[in-house]
Amino acid sequence: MTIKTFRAFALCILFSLVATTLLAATPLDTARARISEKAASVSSIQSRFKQEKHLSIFREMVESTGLFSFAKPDKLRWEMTTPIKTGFVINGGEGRKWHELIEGEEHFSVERDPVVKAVSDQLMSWATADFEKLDTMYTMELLTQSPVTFRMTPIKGGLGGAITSIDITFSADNNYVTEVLVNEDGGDFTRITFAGVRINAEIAKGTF
Amino acid sequence: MDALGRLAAGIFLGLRERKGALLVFCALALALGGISLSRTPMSEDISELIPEKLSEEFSLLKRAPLAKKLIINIHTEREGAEPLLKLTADRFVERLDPALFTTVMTGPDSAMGQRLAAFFLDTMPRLSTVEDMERIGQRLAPGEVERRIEEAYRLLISPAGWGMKGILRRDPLRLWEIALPKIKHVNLLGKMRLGDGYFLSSDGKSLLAIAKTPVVMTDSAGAEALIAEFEQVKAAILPEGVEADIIGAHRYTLANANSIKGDLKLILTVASLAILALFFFWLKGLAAVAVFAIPAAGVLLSAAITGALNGTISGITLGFGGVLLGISVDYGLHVYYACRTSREPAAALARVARPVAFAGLTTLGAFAVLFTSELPGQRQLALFSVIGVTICLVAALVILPQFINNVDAAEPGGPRPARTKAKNRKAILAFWALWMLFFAFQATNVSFEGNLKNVGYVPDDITRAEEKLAESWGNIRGKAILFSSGATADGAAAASEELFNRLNGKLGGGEIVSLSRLLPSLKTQEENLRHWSEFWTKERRIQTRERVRATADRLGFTTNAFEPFLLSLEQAPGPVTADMLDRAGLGELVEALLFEGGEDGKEHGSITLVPDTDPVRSVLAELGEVKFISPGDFALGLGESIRDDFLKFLSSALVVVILLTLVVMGTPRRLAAALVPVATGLITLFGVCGLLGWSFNIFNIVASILIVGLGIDYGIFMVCRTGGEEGKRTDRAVVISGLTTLAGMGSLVLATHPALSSIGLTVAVGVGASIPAALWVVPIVKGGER
Repeated sequence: MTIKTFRAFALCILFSLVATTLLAATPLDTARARISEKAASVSSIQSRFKQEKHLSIFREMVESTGLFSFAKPDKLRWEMTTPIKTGFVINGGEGRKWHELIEGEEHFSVERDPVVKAVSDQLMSWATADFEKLDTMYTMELLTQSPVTFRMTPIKGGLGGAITSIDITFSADNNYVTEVLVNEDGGDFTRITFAGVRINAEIAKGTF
Repeated sequence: MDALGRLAAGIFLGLRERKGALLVFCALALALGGISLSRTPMSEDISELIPEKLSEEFSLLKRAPLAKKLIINIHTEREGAEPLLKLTADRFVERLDPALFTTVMTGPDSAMGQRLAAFFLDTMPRLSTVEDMERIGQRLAPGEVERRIEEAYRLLISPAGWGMKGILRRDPLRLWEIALPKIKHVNLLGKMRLGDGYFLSSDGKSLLAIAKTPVVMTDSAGAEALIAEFEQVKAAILPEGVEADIIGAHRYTLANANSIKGDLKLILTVASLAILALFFFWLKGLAAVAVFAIPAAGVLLSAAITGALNGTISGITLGFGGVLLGISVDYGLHVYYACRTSREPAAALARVARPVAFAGLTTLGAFAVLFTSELPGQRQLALFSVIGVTICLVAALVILPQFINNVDAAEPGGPRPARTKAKNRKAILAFWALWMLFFAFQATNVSFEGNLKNVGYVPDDITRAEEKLAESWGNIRGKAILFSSGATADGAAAASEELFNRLNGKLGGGEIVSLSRLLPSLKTQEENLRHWSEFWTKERRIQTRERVRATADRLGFTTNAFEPFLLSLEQAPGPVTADMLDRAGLGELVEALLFEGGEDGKEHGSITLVPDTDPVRSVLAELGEVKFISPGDFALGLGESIRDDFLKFLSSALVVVILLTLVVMGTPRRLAAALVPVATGLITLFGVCGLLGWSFNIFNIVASILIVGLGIDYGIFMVCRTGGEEGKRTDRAVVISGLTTLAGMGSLVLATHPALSSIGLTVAVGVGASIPAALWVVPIVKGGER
């Protein structure tokens, strides 16, 4: 090999390395792609949840538990069972909510209840890993790669200006969300953990 | 030989040996004119077309909240595409050049809800009316306080309560919601709903972004850069199935400027080629170039002088250059026909000088009438035309004769109008009379177009964008504007409040856009504050404190969880100001609905918007003394103003022309004969307009005055014609000059700009009718030889 040929070969290698580095996807992109791929095969999710509310205005941490159900494309049930029985169901554009102190259920149009709509939009976006939609509300960074944890910082609208960030952690197999951590001003936070997750299992009639 | 003839002949003979110097002078004048014109900016300012008596209304109309903004309408036909619309909106915000798009607002910012709640919490004591206090009292009824605190608890532990802690601490009873409906009175986008902080249409298929730009609305170069930037970003970011339109005055400016610029090239090229072809076909000689050079030079110099005097020159005025070419070529043509075949050119020039000068003078008289117009644009047109006609007249009588080669004394060509036999004269006269009667009857149907939009050029894509905007959002850009003013900001607020109260009883409150419910006068604020203090007695405060604390304690809240709320009941906040609204995220509204103005800049004003409909206008008329501008009424007012102008101009021009013609013609019969082409042209024009349903606009008025000026020229030449060969040459000169005018007019018909094409169409009809009348009817009415 002459010096000229060697130089040319070395330059090619160097150039390829630089180009590969420049063109390579970022870890965030890779993680998002992995999650999206898994989410595509999920048609329904059912799980228990536990919520810990760490707010300075409560004397103690408030824990609540309940059930979460989701079915593509637009069915959602958020049911709190303790300390109070309350919750809501979204089925397309229609919804109903209930509370243990109020008799019966209140039916509503999702479009006319912006708060419920905002909440359900968030929950559904996380459940389906709808990054296109999440990008309209947050800037996203990757906190950890294993398990995948995204930190989302609100850029517009969403759930109020007092939320500083939301951390979403996925299961080891990237199939579903295991924890949501909502950070608020003044160090307050809300942690929701999901357990007993069943993917694509049959959903009882009347859930939605 | 008359004095004018002797003067023309004297000048001709005096300059005979100085042709070289004359050529140098002409070349220098043209070079200077060219340089000056190239440095004159062209304006397309629509306000030049607004009568001065309406200019104040027009400037007030421009204060409409969205008038100076650019609206970006992002829309799709796909169902459930809201996220895509929001993503597209964010990409626009990110990519549009901030030098051209200072801000692009796609909705209230993320903290808007919180800030608005904070605003109401801060201002409730000063904004709450007696009715509001009654509702607050209902929320303090037994069991209600407890229920609200429990609701606050449930909200806080539900997903909907994320980030709500601060607001709930300040107002656990959510009293601020009682004041919230006041916000509906500042909704500028009728069919709007907020979705995740974006302006979304009710069907979720459109998203609106409102952009600010430093580019002035009438700056065509700036508008071009602005639209180009938008189109470039749009091409780069728009997802499949999503469309985006930009709507605003800048787009109209650019469309009109491009249309006029394109038309100018086409008109001047086609007019020049058509006139040159006429000359070379019938005159066949280099002298034709000299005859043609006169109007061309006249247009150039006139535009340069007008531009130098005004600082700018209107595109419409420049477009009128094609018309001026057609008119002013006539003078050179008559001089050419007279001198070309005469062995004594000085004598020939002396004979033709009088009719040429008087033809020019009557045209000048007709155009001079436009100086009295209320429209700055028409006054500029008058200046341009008067300068142009004068230059062409002087050039035809002084410069042109020096360059006509009369050695060969060859017979110039040209169409030969058929001789009229005596037995046909009665038939011609009868036919002409019937023609006049028929079109005079049709003329009674002429209507007037006052809508400036129909005079301006509006391409199909802008029309479609406007239609789509109205379909998704309603008529957000066409509301009637009501002005309330005062010597101070509070004075304006008081006036606005009074107006709102008066309107509120007659119109639905939801139809009124006003700041008066969010920014009442100080007097009202003090009154509200007094009610608030009277309501929150010490007893009631203590009672509320105990009930709030007891319930909070039972639910597990800390002792001071709702202390901010309890403290606020004891405090009297300062006055509500526009700055507070600004901080609440309503700055755009404050900017749109409040203004400072007046001659000394010390007048404060407030704008109220109501639908621009007939029932609303009736209500406003009932109120009396309310200063309001309605786009619909403005269009009507403009129409009326144009009609008044039209009648004034036409009658003035006719009087001027008749008086001048009487001086030249001497007898009533000769005067009547000279007026035949004018009368035929005008009546035919009005009749055709009435028959075909064409409306008269600002430019048709110019065109009809043009017909007066041109028609009288033909009449004067035909009345002054002598018998024999010289008479035949006059006939040919009239036909050729008519054809050249029609060539100039014909080029305007090709224009895409409605203003230019309407001038072309109307003058083509008017002149087209006056030429045959001049050739065949004038000699009959005049009597004598034919």
